[in-house]
Amino acid sequence: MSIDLEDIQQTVIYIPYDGDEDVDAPEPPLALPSVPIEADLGNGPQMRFEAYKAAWTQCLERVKVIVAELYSPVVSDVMDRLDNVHSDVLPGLPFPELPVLTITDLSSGSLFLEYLGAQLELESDGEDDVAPMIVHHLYPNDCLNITSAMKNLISGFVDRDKVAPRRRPAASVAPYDLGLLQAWYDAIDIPRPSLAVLLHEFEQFDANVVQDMLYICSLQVARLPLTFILSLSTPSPSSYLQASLARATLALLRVYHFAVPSGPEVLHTVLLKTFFDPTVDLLLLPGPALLEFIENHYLTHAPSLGALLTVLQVAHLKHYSTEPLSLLAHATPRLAPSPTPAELHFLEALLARLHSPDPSATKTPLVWSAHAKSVSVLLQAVDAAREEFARHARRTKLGFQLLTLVVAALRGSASDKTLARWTGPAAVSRALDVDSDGIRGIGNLIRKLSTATLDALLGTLHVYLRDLPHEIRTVEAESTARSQIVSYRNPSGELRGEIAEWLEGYLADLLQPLEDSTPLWGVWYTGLTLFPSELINPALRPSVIAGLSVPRAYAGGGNTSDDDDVDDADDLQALPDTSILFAGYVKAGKLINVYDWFDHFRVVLEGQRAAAKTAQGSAKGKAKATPKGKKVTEDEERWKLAVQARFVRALHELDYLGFIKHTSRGGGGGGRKGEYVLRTVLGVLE
Amino acid sequence: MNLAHPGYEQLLAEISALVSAHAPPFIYVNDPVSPRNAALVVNSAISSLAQSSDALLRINHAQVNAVACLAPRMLYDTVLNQLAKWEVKWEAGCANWGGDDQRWNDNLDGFLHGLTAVHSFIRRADAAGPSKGKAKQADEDLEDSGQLVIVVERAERLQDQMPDLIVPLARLAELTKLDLSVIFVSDLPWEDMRPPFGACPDPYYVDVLPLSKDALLRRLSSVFEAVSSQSLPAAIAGPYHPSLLRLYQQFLSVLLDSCSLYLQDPNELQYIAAARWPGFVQPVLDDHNHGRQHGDDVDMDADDDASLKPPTEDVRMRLIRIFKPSFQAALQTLYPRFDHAANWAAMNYPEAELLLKPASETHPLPEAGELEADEGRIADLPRMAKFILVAAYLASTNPHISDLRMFGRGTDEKKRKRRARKTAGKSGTAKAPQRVLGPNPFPLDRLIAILGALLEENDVDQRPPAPEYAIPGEYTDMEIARVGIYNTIIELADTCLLHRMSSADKLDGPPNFKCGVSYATASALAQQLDVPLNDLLWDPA
Repeated sequence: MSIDLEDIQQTVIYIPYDGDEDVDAPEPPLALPSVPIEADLGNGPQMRFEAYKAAWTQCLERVKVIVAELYSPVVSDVMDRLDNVHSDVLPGLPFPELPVLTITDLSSGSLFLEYLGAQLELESDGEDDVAPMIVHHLYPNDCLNITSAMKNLISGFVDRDKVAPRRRPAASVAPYDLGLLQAWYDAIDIPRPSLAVLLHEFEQFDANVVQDMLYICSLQVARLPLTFILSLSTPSPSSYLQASLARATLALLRVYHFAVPSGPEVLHTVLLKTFFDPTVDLLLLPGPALLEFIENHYLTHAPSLGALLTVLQVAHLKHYSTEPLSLLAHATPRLAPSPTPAELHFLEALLARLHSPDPSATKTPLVWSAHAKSVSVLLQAVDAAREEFARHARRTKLGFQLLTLVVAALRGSASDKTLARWTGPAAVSRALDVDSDGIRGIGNLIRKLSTATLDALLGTLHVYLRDLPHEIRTVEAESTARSQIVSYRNPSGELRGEIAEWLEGYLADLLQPLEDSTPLWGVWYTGLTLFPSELINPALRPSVIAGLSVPRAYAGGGNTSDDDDVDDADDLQALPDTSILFAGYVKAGKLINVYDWFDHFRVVLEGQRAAAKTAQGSAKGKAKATPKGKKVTEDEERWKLAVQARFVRALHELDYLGFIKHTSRGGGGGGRKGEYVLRTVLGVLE
Repeated sequence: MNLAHPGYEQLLAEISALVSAHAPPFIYVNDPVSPRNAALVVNSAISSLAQSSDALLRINHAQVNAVACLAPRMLYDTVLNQLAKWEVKWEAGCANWGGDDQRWNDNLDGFLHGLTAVHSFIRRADAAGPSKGKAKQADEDLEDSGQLVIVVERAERLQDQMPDLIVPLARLAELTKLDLSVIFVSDLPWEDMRPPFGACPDPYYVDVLPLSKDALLRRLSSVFEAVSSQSLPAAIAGPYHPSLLRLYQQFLSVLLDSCSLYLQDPNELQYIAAARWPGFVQPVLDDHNHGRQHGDDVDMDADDDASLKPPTEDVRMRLIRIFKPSFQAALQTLYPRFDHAANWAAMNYPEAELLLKPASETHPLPEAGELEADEGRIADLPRMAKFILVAAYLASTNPHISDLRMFGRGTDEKKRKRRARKTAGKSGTAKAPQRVLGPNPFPLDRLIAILGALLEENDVDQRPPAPEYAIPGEYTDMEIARVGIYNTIIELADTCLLHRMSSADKLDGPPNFKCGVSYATASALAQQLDVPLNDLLWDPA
């Protein structure tokens, strides 16, 4: 594996650990944070990865479709504006203005721009009667100074011409001269395209460069129809432009603002339509804990669809890497009737899971023995469970959708606080799964609706059920529900109570917790599993400190409790050098005397050495006589040097981590001597 | 010729006179109000002289913009190409003039030689051109053949972009020993960009005075004529119909009365006029269309009368009475470009059929009120960003010594002591509150600490439960140390909602910030978060 550290395109470089060069080091290997998967097939990881890929692709495609739906109105607005931006001009202006479109996406994600770019490409490839549009993308790094900015701007258009006549660099127009672009443009056949420049992450551009670029382009705009599209992530684009550009520059521009939809509604739409659309079957459904984390993360930290996708992907990865049975998600592997030991192990686990204590099942022993006898029967049971779960999930999703409609109708009459329980996917999912209440109480609210609203609600429900695809509609409950609704239309006052009761009952019937569907629900549903939020949004300083002070517990996922019993000194000896040094750091005052610190370190190392010797000694008995004389002193010298080296190495590690500030060395500054260092992190709890 | 630039007759005359009688080698045109117009006038004066048929005047003219010419090389190329009347052709590989033999653009020396070459090229072309009839006369003129004029627009930018070129450009005639004149046009006076040690000869100064009201009026109404001559045929009643010229002039006169006190740039005034005029004239057009519809019903021969007639004096007075207050509104919105003209015009159309209503029912359009800062979608910010902005506002407004008293959780929390409010100062000027003085910078650590206090008070019950944090405040400590927080702070600094005060490449010590939102925004945000902002301010209003 070759690692190219010089490649600036890579944001992250993975350097694999290829063993400790210092083999003699007495440090015991740390327990790696791995999830023990006891019963697994031989190619289990591979199969789980396949299952993950299938599920994630499905989910991603679905989200993409919904996002495209959300974005398309704005995109078509932008395209309409781009089409007539050079023709729709107010007469009588002193100078032609340079049209500028700002696209504000709070999340600063590039999802919208990608989509817009794709649409623009489509249009320019498509119809021939419309003058096409050429879009060129500029990034902050292209525009570090005005020369490179103009050069990139011009070459972005000019270099599209594959058969360009040869230009001699010295004898022709400079590559940053807008005259070059003008000459190219004048030579294009009519209808000439309009030119658009998309500036990504506009806030990162140097304002002076942008101002000059806009000025130069505005001088030519009458002959060279350029349009600038700025991608902004500020909530208020007009005040941002006011603040960052001079008035003289603003006076050259005609600015149109567009906003990409964002906010909680977008999140709710995406989640509802992805995971709770009965017409879409996904391989993995998120449970309330995951949905709550998604909602919280989106609303509190990163309101961007890109971040949402990341969270979903990590959730998928986690599910498929920790749940051993998840390889069954998509398809059941065909196993031979006589399984290998590993397979047998796996099948046993599967059998146990399938027959996990379930009070409702009465025929368990009989079925159990049937399953236990034959591999194929067991696998058929898995297939049946999969179907059962899908059916159950479809009903639950239908219930979700109907509940959303009901809650929307109630919004006028009931207070938001009462409805909050059923607003948004996370809340509903939590209400279903955890609160025993579920949707209890919604009937009372429905009863209070006015006749007209209730009728309108019934109408909506009816239309929704009627428009469902065939395969879902045929489920008997739904067809009866429809006839029920029809019979309730045009309700009179007395019927209201009955309708409310029926609706509540119907919804409650649909909205059964997914855990009840089949014992194997964990394969397709994340349930109450928590999302590893530290992966997405870690707390840096506490993590580093925890890693330094309790490295073993930290690396082992924090569940090794036996370390706590060991008393302090022994504990310290068993730690890596840096942690030993850090323990001294925590105990010290604001200023640390390096010599004292070293002393403390040395004492711990001596203890370590002694412990190692006793261990060695007891193992090897008295086979070796203690070396004498010169050899002893030599060994001592070597040991002292080693301690110093290890101290310096650990010290520098802490230094790199930013824990130390060096005081000025003697000299003129009047500071302390170099033997003191300053602590930068105070108030660390031991 | 004077018709081309009404209002700038004096400048036009001066430049024409100078150039037609061998201009001084270095001229400095200073127009602090509208340098763009001045440059336009100078260039058009020279090019009309260059195109004139007068055989004695052979002028070759180049105009360059000091902003657009990013590097000396580009300046050289542009000047030489224009002097030689050379057009850059894509098919020819965008070659410069004389590019085949030699390049003139690698340094100043090359440029000087290039100028000489261009000069002799022009002389040859001139000699070859009229050789059919008056070859002899041309020969006589050879010694005196043509002047080169180079106009540099926005010359003040030479200081930043090409400071080394100011002196050579100013002395170009000396250096090339040609009949050559360089004209700088700028809004700065020469004293402000003159190189030290008298390296430059003193220019011939031309100062452009601000236009008088009469000149402005003439200039702006000439725009009307220009637009109406090139717009739709006169039969269709549009806002720039020729018979509305009188109304337009009256409109301008009122517009100038209310705006020229604040604004002298003719371009800006024209911009406002262009935005306001379509709305202003709309009632007249409505009236006309309305009348025509009715006219068609009554009398089919009315077509002859259908052309738009100038409105009566009565209607004009009424329109002006209605629209006058909106001129100020236009100025306040359009001059700082809070909006662009086309959009403003569309937003501020009067109600339909205004003139059909009785006069008592029509009210003057509203005058511009307090311009509210555009909040945009600040409510859509993520929760944490809102907390950070509120914390930043507090950090920027409260003195840092007050933090412990404002945010510390002492034994009795109620006793959040503020500074004892002094009664109005008896002597000297009262100290202005910090809110009026503007935000103070604060280090990142202080922001994070205040954020932690805010979160501990107001956010704890909104978080997902986390039983692993047992010590009070530990959860908040984790929250404020998260990557997301630092990320959000950087993003807010990028979008100018926080201002970064220390340079980005300084690694030592925490970065300093300043709050970028107003009190109104901060209190709106605080309200959304249920933070009692006024209780936390050291010196509330």
